Amino acid sequence: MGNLIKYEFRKTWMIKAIILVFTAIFEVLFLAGTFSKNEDMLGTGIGFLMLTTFGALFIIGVYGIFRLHKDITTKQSYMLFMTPHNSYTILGAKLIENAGSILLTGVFYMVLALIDITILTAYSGEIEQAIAFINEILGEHYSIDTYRFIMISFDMIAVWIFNIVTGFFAVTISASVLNGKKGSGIISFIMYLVITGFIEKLHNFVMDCFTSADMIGFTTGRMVYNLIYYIGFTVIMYVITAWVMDNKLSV
Amino acid sequence: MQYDSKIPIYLQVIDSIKTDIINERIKCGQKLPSSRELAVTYTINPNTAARVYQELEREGVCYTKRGMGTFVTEDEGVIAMLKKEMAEEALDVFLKSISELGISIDEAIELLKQREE
Amino acid sequence: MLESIEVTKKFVGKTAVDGITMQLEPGHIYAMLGPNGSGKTTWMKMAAGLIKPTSGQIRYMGQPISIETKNDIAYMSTEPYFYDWMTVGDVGKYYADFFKDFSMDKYDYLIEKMDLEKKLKVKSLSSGMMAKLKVAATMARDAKVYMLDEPLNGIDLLARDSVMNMILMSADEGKTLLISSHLVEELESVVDKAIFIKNSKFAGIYDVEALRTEDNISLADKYRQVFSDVDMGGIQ
Repeated sequence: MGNLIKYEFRKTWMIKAIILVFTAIFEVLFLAGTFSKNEDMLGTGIGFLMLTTFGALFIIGVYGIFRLHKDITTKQSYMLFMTPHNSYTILGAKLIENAGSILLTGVFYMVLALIDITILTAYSGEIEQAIAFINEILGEHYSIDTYRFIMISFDMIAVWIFNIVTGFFAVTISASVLNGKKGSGIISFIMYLVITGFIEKLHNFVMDCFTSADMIGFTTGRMVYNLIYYIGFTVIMYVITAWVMDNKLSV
Repeated sequence: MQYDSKIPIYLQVIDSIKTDIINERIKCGQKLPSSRELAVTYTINPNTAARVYQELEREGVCYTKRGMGTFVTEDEGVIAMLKKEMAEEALDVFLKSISELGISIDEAIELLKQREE
Repeated sequence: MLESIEVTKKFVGKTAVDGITMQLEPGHIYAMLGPNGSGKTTWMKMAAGLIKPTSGQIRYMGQPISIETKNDIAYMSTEPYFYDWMTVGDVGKYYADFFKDFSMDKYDYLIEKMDLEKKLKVKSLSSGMMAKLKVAATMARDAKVYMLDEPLNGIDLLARDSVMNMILMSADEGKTLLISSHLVEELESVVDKAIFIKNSKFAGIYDVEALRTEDNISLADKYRQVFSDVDMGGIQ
């Protein structure tokens, strides 16, 4: 398993290195703007850092799906399937590497954001006032502090990882059950949309049924429920996908 | 080595080795390669290579020293016999072709002499 | 050692392998012969555990093919399959990471014999060099069964000789080798058994030297007998 994860990382490190380089450039821009009190530079830095954050999470996830597609539809599939490892391990290694990367990336940008905000407030009192003002508008249930920011971030990461594993499922279906059939790409993409859509609807439905007054807004209870819900379905999708791979995929 | 794919490969390899012994490309008493090496050198199946040595041993051309490998016989008489045998075989082929052409042995000798000149 | 019992593989609208029953024993080099598309690759992939039969079973030492049998059965596909970023050295490391029976010393030895350099990128290799690399990586394993799918495909004469040498260097009494090819002549001297696959079905297994001693025909002649209805006439 360790070796499989190692090679999954080897396949994706390049793209991660590029993302890191961009992050470093924008971070420098942000710091330079902060220290020199150049608002244009500061604004550009913040804008691009936010863009890089979402871009990084998006690209790393989607690239993982793309790699899986390549690993089961091209001749490179032999590299994985000739080894004495079953589909659960092979897919598991991919999931651990990809989800791990997303999680680490998320935590990295989360910490970076917290540090940057701290630096920024130290250099400019206006920002602190602005945050306080926004929180006042949002009200008690939806106002944001560091703790809530972290919880929300983890929550989003969990949802994104679930989306990725559903993407794994979709490309596996298109390469196995739908292999060689017309429109297999479109059908599997629709399956992806239907599954993620349904799971979200179910999530909201369950939420509505069990929400009590103390779960309104960004509460710990709600966040924990979200995390458990999406991690649970991530595991379920993983097991189904590995089963399909084991039984229906011809490499 | 080029093989005639209709003739058993082991016979062709045996002939090649015998020719080498007669020509002294392989010396009396010399150690021969292992059957595995023989297979690689001649690009033949290892089982065929093993059969080559079995046959050569049966004919007394080679012998096996336990744990040391296969060696060419040191008996010069055997090698002289070998040379005679192979010459006979060559003659058989020659005579067969000649008789198919309707040429008598005397005429053939005459032709050979002409060639010699 | 390797048994195929009534093995059938159906793909959508096509039967690739149709009820193949046969048995492979150690100590032999088998040729698997048949025209392109006759089902050789599909059978090998099933024995390699890459695809599952629709019905029937392949067994190795009495056990059905599984993840465990991949430790003992080495399979090499016709097409290149290494990752684009790999060098010749990386290929060795990859095999060493995944196969307990892989010997880096043997790999290094074969690579050197084949005039390949470890720092070469696999992407830059010619088809002949790629063929040699694939065989070197596969034969550097100390497997019990080796299945090589068309190892001579698309490579020149000299590369063919090198590939054949590597294969012969690894053959011994305890091992089973299976080589598929449509280049029958190339295998004449190397294999001792030949399996014919015709239209997805098993069409006989022959001892190659016995064909020459008993029937006075070459393997290529037998191939023509089995696969074509054309009489070759007076040339015997």
